[in-house]
Formats: sequence, C-alpha cells, structure tokens
Amino acid sequence: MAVTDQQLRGLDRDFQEDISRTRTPGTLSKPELFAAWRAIRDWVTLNQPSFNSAIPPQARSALTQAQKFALLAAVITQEIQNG
Amino acid sequence: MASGRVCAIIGPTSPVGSSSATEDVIIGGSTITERIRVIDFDGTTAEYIDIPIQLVNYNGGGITVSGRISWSTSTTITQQSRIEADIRVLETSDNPTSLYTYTFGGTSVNVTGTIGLSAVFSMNIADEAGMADDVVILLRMRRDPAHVDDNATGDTELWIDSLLVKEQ
Repeated sequence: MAVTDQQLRGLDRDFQEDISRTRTPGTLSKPELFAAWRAIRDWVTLNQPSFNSAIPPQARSALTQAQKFALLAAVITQEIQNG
Repeated sequence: MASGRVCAIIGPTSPVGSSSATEDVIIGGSTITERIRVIDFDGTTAEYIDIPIQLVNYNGGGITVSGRISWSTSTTITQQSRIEADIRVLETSDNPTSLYTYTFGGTSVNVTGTIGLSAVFSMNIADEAGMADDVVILLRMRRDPAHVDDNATGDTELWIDSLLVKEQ
C-alpha cells in the first residue's frame, strides 16, 4: 500500500529533527522538501512492478512484498553509509 | 507611557504541559567552547514556551518584545519563520488554574543567509487589564509552522538571553 501524505509528514518531521540536531546546512524550504518526499513516494509506487521484475524468479515468488522492501531498504541504507 | 524603556524582569523559561519547545545550546567555536542557550522550535509542529515576566516601571501602553533567533539548518534568505506571542496577566484576582485562551500575534522573520547567524525580531503586545508595576505576566511564545509565511526547514532557535521587554 502506498505511503500516505500523513505518513510522509511523520517522516518529514523526523528528517527535519535530524538535520536540525546535526545543524546540517540546507537550502530547501519546507514545501520544497515535502514535494521531494511526495515525488519519491510516487516514484516508488510507480516503479514497484519493475522492482519486482528485477528480482530473480525464484526469490520473486518466495519472498513476501514486505521482505522485498526490507532488502531494498537495506541496500539503500548501505548506499547511504558508503557515501 | 510609550517611553521605549525596559519595563520588565524576565524569569527563567518554563516548559508548557504539552507541545513544549525544548531547551538546547549552540556550541561556540572558541578553544574552550561557549554555550549559547536557546529554545528550539520545531519546523513541522507548533511548539510553545512560557516565560514569566515581572513588570517594573511600567506605565501602560503595551509592551514590545524583542530578541534574536537563528536557524539550525537553512541558508537561503528567501525563507521565513513565524514567531508569535501572547501574554496572560497573572493578577492576584486571576486563578491560574482557570482557562485562558491565548490569542497570538507575531512577526515573520527572514532566515539569515549563513548558518549560525542570528536575526533580530520585535513584536508589540497591547496593554491588557491588570498590567501594572509588580504584576507578573506570562509571555507565551511559539513558532507557527502552519502559518503561510513559515517555510523555513528545520528548527528555529530563540536566544533565551536576548529577550528584552520594553514599553511601546
């Protein structure tokens, strides 16, 4: 199920608290930042079929949708840590 | 009246019962680092802080509250934070446990162009019944992140020790 705007607001709040705590310079206004959240949510929703197709058939049928997203999240988290 | 002179002794900040802004410090850059005491106002949720003030040498006409704020993240000058305030006059006849409805007014402050720099704000609060010498008033301040002007990302920091209350 697609992430709702309300859920995005919660993610946005956490993100802003995080960059405030670390005093990270930025140039985005709140509306611009939230537009980014929405665009990413829409992109994820739109590309779910191709994401699913990219997984080899055996794993595609064996893994639940939640497990597939967990794998994706782990890869993205590692990408962030790699810089 | 209308002297523009300092007319209050400002007490320590007091967190509100819920949705309270939080105390924080800006860490200075000297070899032994300084600590600038601030109150953090969230960028997405309205948060509040109470500041007790005792009026001294107050001759009526309302007050002007001024101070400095800074931002923890933003660097563009096209963004603003909305800082608002109202007061509750705590006369001896006012039971503080009774309901009081705050009516906020405020000002929109441009984010400074460089992180770490602060900006001065100023707002007028009209005279209210009971405001007189030696009377304690509660100054309730907030940032209104839902205000149409408030588009600055991240926390806005109120410099606690910069607050000044003058007669209008």
